[in-house]
Amino acid sequence: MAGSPEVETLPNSAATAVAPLAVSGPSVLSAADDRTLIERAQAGDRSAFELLVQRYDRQVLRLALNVLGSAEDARDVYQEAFLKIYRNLHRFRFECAFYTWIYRIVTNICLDHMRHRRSHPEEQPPVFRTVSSEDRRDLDFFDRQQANGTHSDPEREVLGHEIGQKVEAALQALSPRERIVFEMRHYQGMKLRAIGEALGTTEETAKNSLFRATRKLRAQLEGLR
Amino acid sequence: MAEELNCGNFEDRAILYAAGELIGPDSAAIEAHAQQCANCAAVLSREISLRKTLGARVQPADTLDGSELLLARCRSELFEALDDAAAKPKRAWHSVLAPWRWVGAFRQAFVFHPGWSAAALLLAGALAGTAAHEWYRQIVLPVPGTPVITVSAPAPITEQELETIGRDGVRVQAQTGSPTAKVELQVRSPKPRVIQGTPDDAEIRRVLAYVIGHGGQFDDSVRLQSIDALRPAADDPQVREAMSQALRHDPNPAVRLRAIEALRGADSAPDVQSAILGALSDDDNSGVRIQALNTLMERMRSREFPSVPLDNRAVSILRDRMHNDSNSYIRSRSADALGQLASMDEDSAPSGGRHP
Repeated sequence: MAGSPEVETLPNSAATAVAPLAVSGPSVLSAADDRTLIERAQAGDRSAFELLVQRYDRQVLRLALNVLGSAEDARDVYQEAFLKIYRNLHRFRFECAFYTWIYRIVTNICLDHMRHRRSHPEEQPPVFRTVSSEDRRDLDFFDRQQANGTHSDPEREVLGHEIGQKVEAALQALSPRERIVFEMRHYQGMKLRAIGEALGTTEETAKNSLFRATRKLRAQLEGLR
Repeated sequence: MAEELNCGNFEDRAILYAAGELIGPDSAAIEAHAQQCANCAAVLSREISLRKTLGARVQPADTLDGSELLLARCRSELFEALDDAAAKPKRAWHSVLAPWRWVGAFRQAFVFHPGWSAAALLLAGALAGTAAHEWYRQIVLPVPGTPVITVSAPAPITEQELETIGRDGVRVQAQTGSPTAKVELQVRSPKPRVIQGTPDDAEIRRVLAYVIGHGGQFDDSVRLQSIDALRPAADDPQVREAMSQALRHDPNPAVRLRAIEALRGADSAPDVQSAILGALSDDDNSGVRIQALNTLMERMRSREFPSVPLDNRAVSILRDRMHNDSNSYIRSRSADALGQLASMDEDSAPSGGRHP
């Protein structure tokens, strides 16, 4: 599951939702388990909070890495988000799914970073590049293992390498909100209703953002397909 | 889906279908419509193709943290931060007033924004400069109302004190409904004091005359205000001398012009006449020369003029201006003035000519 873009969110009712972002194979826990952990964390149990962090942080970091394209920025988002969650956990009243609450915080921080970057282009991080075979020689052992695992299909690797830069450029052209919606829908596998909740808006608004993003991407990538 | 599927709304539905958002009957309806409509089938195919293209993207997360070392590092840093937060004692509300908290906040806010830092430093410098100036004025040059020596009958001001009156040490304020201005002097040494009065006071007049005669020491506006304040006292030899001095030497033509105007009532005095002739002859500002010439001609038209004749120098200067002045108005008016003098000579011929 780690690193997979195929994770699908289950329908999220606050009472019955299954934690959609649980990532540790057998340790998929229900919302009820979350509730216990949250209540213990709210009562000051540090280890309960750490368990909650470990349950959700992989997808949080992944979202930040994908939309910001910078390890440093993603690290900042991670720290800021979970510290904010820790400080405000006592305000969580179980009125929505916990992951929705987390994503609301994380997406807001990501949006702030993206908007700040747009208004301060001089502070842009190094442009993310897709990894070619030549680049892979420079990776360390662990990264090589990961890269080999992800790109074991040569056809996909070639395709990805050829169009990767253009897709990245097209994604960069989206507005911060469109980018977040597209990322959460296409690469995080979240449903539009959950995305709307995470962004503090409606499913319809999230849907419109997805439409706009798709049309922009289609126009940008017209010649590729 | 509330709205019925048709060719008009098919594209949006196709986007949702390709994104995997539609399930069950909604998904089946899209597929069924595409089978019946070639255009919509092409649209659906295009959306699916776009989805595949985007799916082939290598996600930055896979490249930047494929081994999850970054994730481990983030966790470690987070838990350390939580440990630190737990170790810190809770601060009382009034700790926000502690200077070190503000220093820390400013440091965090500005360390990554050199532009802000520079602007903040400039602002702080300006505020500090203004505050220091005000403090100095209050300490060294106290304003009226503060505990200073305020004298209604001022003691004589020494030459040394006059020399140390600063640019902001003289305030001249016109009084509504009165031709007499109110003057405030702030004398620095040897003991700071404030002297208030009007140009009717001899000491005040002396100081204002000093101001007028020392262009480099005081602001233009103060010199102009001083001339205006002393205008009613232009008959005073001391004032006349100062104004003549200003007419000759003040660096600002506006001050020289104002001095000529102020001297109009006193232009029968030889020293004033000399100064006006000097301005007509030598001033590099044509406006001042014109004003000097007009004053001279007014003088010639006055009743007492025959008793105060122009000397040879005046005639010589008028001739020179008539031939050589760069300003045509001055050349023309100088010729008029000489013609006027000539006719006066003819009228007074029996008693002898004034000009050779």
